[in-house]
Amino acid sequence: MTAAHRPLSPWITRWPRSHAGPVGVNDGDERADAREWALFSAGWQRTAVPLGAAGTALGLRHGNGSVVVELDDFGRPIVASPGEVDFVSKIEENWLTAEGTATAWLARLAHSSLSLRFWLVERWRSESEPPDEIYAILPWQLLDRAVQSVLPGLRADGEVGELVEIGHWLSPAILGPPGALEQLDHGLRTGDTEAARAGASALLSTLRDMPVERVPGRTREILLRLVRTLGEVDPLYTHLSRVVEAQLRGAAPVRRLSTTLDSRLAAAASNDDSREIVATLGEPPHQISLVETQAGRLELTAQVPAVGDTGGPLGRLEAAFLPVRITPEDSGVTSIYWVALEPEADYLVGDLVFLLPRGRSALDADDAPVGPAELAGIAVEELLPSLYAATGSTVDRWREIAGSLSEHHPVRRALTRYEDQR
Amino acid sequence: MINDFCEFSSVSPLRPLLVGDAVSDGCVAGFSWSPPEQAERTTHLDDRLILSGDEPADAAPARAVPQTAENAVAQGVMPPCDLPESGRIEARSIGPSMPERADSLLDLPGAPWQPLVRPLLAAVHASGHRAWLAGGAVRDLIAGVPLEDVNDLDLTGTVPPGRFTDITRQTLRACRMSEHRTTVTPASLVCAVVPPGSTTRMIEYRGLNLGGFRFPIMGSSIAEDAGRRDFSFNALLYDVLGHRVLDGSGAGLDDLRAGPRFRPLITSTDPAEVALIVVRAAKFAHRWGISAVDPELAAWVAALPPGLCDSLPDADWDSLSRSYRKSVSASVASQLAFAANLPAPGRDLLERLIGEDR
Repeated sequence: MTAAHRPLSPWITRWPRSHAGPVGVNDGDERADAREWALFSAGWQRTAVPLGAAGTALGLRHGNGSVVVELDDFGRPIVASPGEVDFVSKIEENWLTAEGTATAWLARLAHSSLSLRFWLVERWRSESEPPDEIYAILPWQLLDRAVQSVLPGLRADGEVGELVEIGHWLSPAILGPPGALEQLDHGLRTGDTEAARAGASALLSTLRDMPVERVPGRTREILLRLVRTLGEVDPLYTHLSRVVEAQLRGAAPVRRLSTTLDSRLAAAASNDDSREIVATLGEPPHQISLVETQAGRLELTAQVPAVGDTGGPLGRLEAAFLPVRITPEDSGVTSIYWVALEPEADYLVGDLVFLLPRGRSALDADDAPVGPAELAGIAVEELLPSLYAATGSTVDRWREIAGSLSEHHPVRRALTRYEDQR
Repeated sequence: MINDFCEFSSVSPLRPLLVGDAVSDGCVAGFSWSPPEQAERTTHLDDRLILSGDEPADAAPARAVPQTAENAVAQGVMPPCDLPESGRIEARSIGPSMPERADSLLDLPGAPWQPLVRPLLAAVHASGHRAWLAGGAVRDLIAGVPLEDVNDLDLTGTVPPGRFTDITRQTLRACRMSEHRTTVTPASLVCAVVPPGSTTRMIEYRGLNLGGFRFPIMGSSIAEDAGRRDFSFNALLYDVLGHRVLDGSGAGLDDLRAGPRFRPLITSTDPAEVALIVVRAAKFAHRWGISAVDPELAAWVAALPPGLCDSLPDADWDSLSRSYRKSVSASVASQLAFAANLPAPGRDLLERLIGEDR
């Protein structure tokens, strides 16, 4: 599908309408994606379709006189002035070859309808690698306002501010942080500390992996305030908040709980003095100790700070699993080992022992620990390797945690299967 | 008829307005929805209360839906109490492990609906409304199809579209899924949840079907809803809270167990709607490797108007053609064999669709 002028939105309607009543979507096939229709393979030009008092809509006109109007998620015509329609037309003609020009044009769409901006960026992104600047036309102020609402709620006795729904509007640029922020907001607003903590953990994780260059400077500054606050509110977030802060500031990275491992190195250095490689990542209280043996076996000990009894806006994490990601270089497919953490003095600790994948692998343990609810959607088969890798006391901790969960929870089912198989 | 309040109050002390209730302006005939004029999201404020006497109107009157039946005379029946006892079947009586199978479907790890569907159903029930699994998922659940082969989850219930979308959006926020889009189709009142970057729907909801008006409308009766679905085996609902199968047509469970048996339920005479039923018959027949045509289906097809193909406007034909190509992937010989077993109006329609496809 290479035609320049075809729908931005998956929904269209024929115009003028042949009947009164509700707008018909996609000739009655609302599940279809009009952008993929052969109908639009050639012969269409952009047009601003008059809507009467409502102004004009984003439309397409075929050489044979047929006209369609593009629709939003509720079947409403996407309103666009003739000038905006003209910009869209030029962007469609040039976006694959003239990035700079198109970026300049986009500034002219900064105040057009949300649907027009969203679907324009969405289609551009799906067909090309647009310059980062184009993402500026998305409604970042929603994210800014949502952060400013959440910040007071993270203070002792503070309350969240206005309810701001970011929804899907930023998803062409960044995926993850808006959803996590809204979950955090929901948890704080309703007193659901489990949801608030899940949102806070996911927010930091997704911000770490976010393409920062797409985020406007003002929004980065506002996010920085939130990230620092989370690091102060809960010691479990101190490490990850520092990592994210460095990322948002474009500063030198802090000491990460990540490294590259090579199962072949130990074997190559085969003499009595170097049968093991020992490494410590991070700094107290967030630390990972690694012992890699010649046979490619990895012994990992994780330590994070224990959370006090204070509760606070994010509550207390009663049962914690630390995700440790292993990504072999050759496959690029990440496996996650979940380390069940048990209290020990001022820390939560847990161990894993497993064989490294052949060759080089990336190990990443920067994420904050999460509660069992975050494991509810994971298949039993994906949890079993973590159990087989757990040492005796860590398996005991799995048992304790599983005992508090419903019999349908994957953690409990994985433990049952593990014990049946042993 | 009086509501079964014992059953109802076990879910929520709230009672929503239902078809049949009496409000100050008249008797509730159904619920509709109009897109918001300006807002970027829809809420219960966009739902429309339809009263008896609104039948001649071209569009749903701008009459808001009260959130509860507090000031109404509650004469309507809360479904599934509109069904006879025989239409409310304990799931375990169908199969000893049916409840566990239904639970496993909802909790299926990796399924797109897994994080959302339980909290969403809980939120709907907490509002006093009811919602059930519908369509293919129920059929596959009962027919023993491997759960991993269930493609999507359809829901139906008593909640009007604006309220449903509002509840859905709040649930999505709680589940860290607020980046999913929510859509409402004005002409069908289908609400959908769509993952970011995708157009494949994760969950679809359509309030209980109802007709008799010149604009789309939903009601509060499972039996009436069944009469507007394609086949009896697709009119089965599953109550995940009470683990009951609700058989709106009274024949769905037997027809599903009989092979299945194709028993069209739709009473519409709209050419586009009946043509779609023929296409859906072909879809299911090819999916299940059935070439024979049940007497019930043959009789229904035989009664269709002879010029069915020619009566379809171009846009409807295009839509039908896309639907056929998308849903039927059997060999041309198989397609022609099934078509040949149908009476003329259906045979002509399918042969023309197959000819286009070749």
